Amino acid sequence: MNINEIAAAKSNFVARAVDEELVLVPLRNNVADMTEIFNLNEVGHFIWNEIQEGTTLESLAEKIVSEYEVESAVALEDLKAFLLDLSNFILND
Amino acid sequence: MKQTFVLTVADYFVKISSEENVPVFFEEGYSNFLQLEEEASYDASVVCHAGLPDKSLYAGEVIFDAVLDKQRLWQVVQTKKERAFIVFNPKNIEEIQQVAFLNEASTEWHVYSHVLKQNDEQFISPLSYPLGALILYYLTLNSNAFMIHASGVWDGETGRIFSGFSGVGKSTMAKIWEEEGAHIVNDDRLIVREVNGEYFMYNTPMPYADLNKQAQVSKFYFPFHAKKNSAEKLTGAQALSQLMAFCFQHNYDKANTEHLMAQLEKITQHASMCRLGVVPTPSIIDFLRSVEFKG
Repeated sequence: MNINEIAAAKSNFVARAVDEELVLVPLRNNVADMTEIFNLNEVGHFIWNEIQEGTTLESLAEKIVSEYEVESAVALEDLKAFLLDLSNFILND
Repeated sequence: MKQTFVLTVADYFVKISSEENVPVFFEEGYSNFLQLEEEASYDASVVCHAGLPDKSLYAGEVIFDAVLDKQRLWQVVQTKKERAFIVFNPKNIEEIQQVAFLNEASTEWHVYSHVLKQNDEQFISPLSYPLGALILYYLTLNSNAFMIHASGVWDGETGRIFSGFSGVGKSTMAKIWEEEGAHIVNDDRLIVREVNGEYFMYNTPMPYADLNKQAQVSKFYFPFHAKKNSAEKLTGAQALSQLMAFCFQHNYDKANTEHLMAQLEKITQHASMCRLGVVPTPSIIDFLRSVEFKG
C-alpha cells in the first residue's frame, strides 16, 4: 500500500460528507461500474481528509492519536489495515 | 416541412422541432407525453435532423461508454466543440441509430437520426430508445431531480417508491399494491422532483403506452427477498449510498455527480428510507403500514 498513490487517486472520487461520515463515489467512464459506492466512518473520514502527497504512515498515526483516544501502537495497526482496504478499493479501480 | 411537438414529462417541457422533409415519428410510449399547444418557455429543445452527420463532427475522446452485457448501447464523445452522444441500434449494434450533440448548458440537443423506411415511407425517430431516456436524464441534472430504477405506487394517501436491481421484486410489489387498489405510477423507471419543498414521482415514456402520471412521494424502500417481512430504517450516509446505487448516474463528470449527491442527501432528510425484507404476498401491505405508523 502506497499513501502517495492513494493521495493521487483521491481526485478520481467525489466525496460527500454526511454528518460525521463520508460517501465516496468513483468517477467512471463506463456505465457498467456505477454501483461501487463506499462509506467511511468518522475516523475513516478523518484519515481521508488528512491524506496528501508526502503524508507518511507515522504522521497519519500521530494525527489519529492526537484526535482520538487511542494508543499509538493500536492506531498504527488499525491505520495499516484501513489503508490496505482503502487502497484495494481506490487503486484497483 | 416544419414540424413542432412539445414533449411533457415530469413537468418538464421539451420543444421538439424539425425542418426536414421527412416526418418525425414517436414510439407508442410517447403518445400521452406529447401535447399540441406550445409553451411560453422550455426546459430544453431538440432539433431533429434526417441522416447521420459526417464522422469528423463526432470524432473525439470517448469520455463515457455505456456497455451492458457486452453490448455497447451508446457513447459520449467530447468533441472540440461539445459533447456528442453516439447511440447504437439496440437490435443491431453495428448500426448507429442517432448521433446527438448537446450544448454545455445541457439544454439544446441536435439529434441526427438514421432515416428509416416502412411501406416506402421515410421517417425519422429521434427519441428511439435509449436516446429519449438520455435526454430526460440530462434534464434532471439541471434541476432538483433525479432518475431512479424503481416502481412507484400511490394508495390515495401515501406515495411509496420501491427501488433495486432487476429481480428484487419492484414489479411484484407494485402489482401487490395495485391489487389492493393502489395506483402504479411506473414499475421500472421514475423521475423524482422537488417542487416547493415536496417531492413528486413521475413516470416517463416506456416501450408501451401509458398515461402521464405523477404522485407525491414520501417513503423509499429497498426490497430484498426474505422469509419474513422486516424493515430497517436507513439514515445519513447509509441512506444516501443505498439510494444512489439505484439512481441513473453517468459519473464521468464531477459536477453532475456532486449535483446528484446533493439532491439525494436532501431527499434522505425529507423522506423515510428503509431496507425491506419482503415476503411477496399481500401481507407486506399491512406490515408496511404498521411500520410506518410506528415511525
